Amino acid sequence: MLKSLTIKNFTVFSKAEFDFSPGLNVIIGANGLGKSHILKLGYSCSWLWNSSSGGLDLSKRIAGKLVKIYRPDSLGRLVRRGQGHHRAEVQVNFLRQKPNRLSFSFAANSKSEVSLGMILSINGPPTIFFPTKETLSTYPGFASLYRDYHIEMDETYYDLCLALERPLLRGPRYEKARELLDPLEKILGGAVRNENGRFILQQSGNGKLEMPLVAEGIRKLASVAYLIANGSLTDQSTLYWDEPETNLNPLLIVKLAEILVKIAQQGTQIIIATHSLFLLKELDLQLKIAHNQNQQGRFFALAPSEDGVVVQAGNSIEEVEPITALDVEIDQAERYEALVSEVGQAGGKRNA
Amino acid sequence: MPDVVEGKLTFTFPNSWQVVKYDETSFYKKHFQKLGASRCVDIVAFETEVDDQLWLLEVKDYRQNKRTKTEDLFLEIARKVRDTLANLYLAQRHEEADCYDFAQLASRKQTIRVVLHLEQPQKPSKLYPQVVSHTNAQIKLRQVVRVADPHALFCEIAKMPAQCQWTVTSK
Repeated sequence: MLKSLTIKNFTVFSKAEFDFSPGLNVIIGANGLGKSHILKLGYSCSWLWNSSSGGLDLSKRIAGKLVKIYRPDSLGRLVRRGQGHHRAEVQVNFLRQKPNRLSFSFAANSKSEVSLGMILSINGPPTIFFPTKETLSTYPGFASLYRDYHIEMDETYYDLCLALERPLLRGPRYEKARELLDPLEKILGGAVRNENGRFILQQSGNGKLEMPLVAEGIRKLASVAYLIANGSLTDQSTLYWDEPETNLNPLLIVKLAEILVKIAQQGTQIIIATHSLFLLKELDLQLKIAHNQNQQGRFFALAPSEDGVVVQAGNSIEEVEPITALDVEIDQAERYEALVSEVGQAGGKRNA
Repeated sequence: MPDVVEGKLTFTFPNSWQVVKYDETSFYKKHFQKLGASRCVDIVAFETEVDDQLWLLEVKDYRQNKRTKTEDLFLEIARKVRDTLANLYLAQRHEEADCYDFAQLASRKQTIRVVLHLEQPQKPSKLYPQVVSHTNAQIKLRQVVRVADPHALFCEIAKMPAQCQWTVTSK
């Protein structure tokens, strides 16, 4: 799992440090403050750790992965722009049985290589990135299309499709996975299956439903179910999820929070970015409820400053500021109150 | 039983409590009132026998008084907490202060607790049953006063947390 991430002059950040919880991590902040950038950077590094074969060509592979995940014109575009010559510096600490570190840097004119500091050694556990759009319905043929043609989509979609290609687990590992699958399949109303290259929802009672016919919000949860069932999400893995609340009704957001806390309890690290105050409160609530079971959560609030975006971290939402979604909701209540009192006064005057 | 009246609200504390309306102490009036912007929370209280907590209570009644803009409300509370604690710190060093004994005991309490007691008129609206929602207010309160009390409480007569041993009645 990802233990910490330290960056200098990377995209919108001049200097930032993230110390992650082995359980659930939530990044909040207004649009354009680099939430997805952090998720993607963590993911790229976790992905490299998982597929690492030592130092061979690692420099090129890091550069290549970052370009495919972020899709800038060139690697150097990821260096924070400002006065003087900057180099982007990244240092990542992983933890499995032993600590493992990766550090690298690159300049604004870098194209296909980075300068390596610390190098990864042992192979890390698999990692998953859920982008904001679901992939299950567009899965058939996507991986080969991506391989053979130039498509303007970042590689997180392709990586996710590759993870979905794996067949289902069997034996004791599948039995263990059922602990998470049972509550998920209850929400989904059935089991997710790959039928000749297309995903379907095998409903509990009446037959099957093709994935494009399943509600969009449900499809995301269906992906989670399938990745648990095929062993892509195991203990020690890190799951990155950008705005998991998209397309979900609050009724399902509560369920989503339950599932996220359960997955984290099973030993999978989770790092999400969200705009939803409702999801934020629900996760905070459920983490507090699960506190007795040694469940750890960590919240990161991003805020603009004169010197790039700054991070504030805490173990509950009360410890971090700003929570833009909360301030906006309070402001909305203010405006409602102003309207009501204005109407009340105007009415009073008319009556008088 | 020590009773404290704040507008239409009466706070009744158990017998083992010491309670002071801080704005009314002459120490405050003499040294702090002249600073203008400096104000204290409405009630400072503690239990004298077993409880090792010092309670700072701020009372707002929007049913009676004009509302403060929510953002300003929390800033105001944070400032009042700061000024009350500064006042107590100084009062326990001045033997001549009318609240000297109180401040001495108060300063020995291990934990500082901050409470915002807020009564709001119920709005006939489905979307805004309360203008300041209970959970939002509690998060905001804890954000602003966390250096004093990371578990600050937001109370109203209809929802009194178990930690609060006093009762509140409204005329």
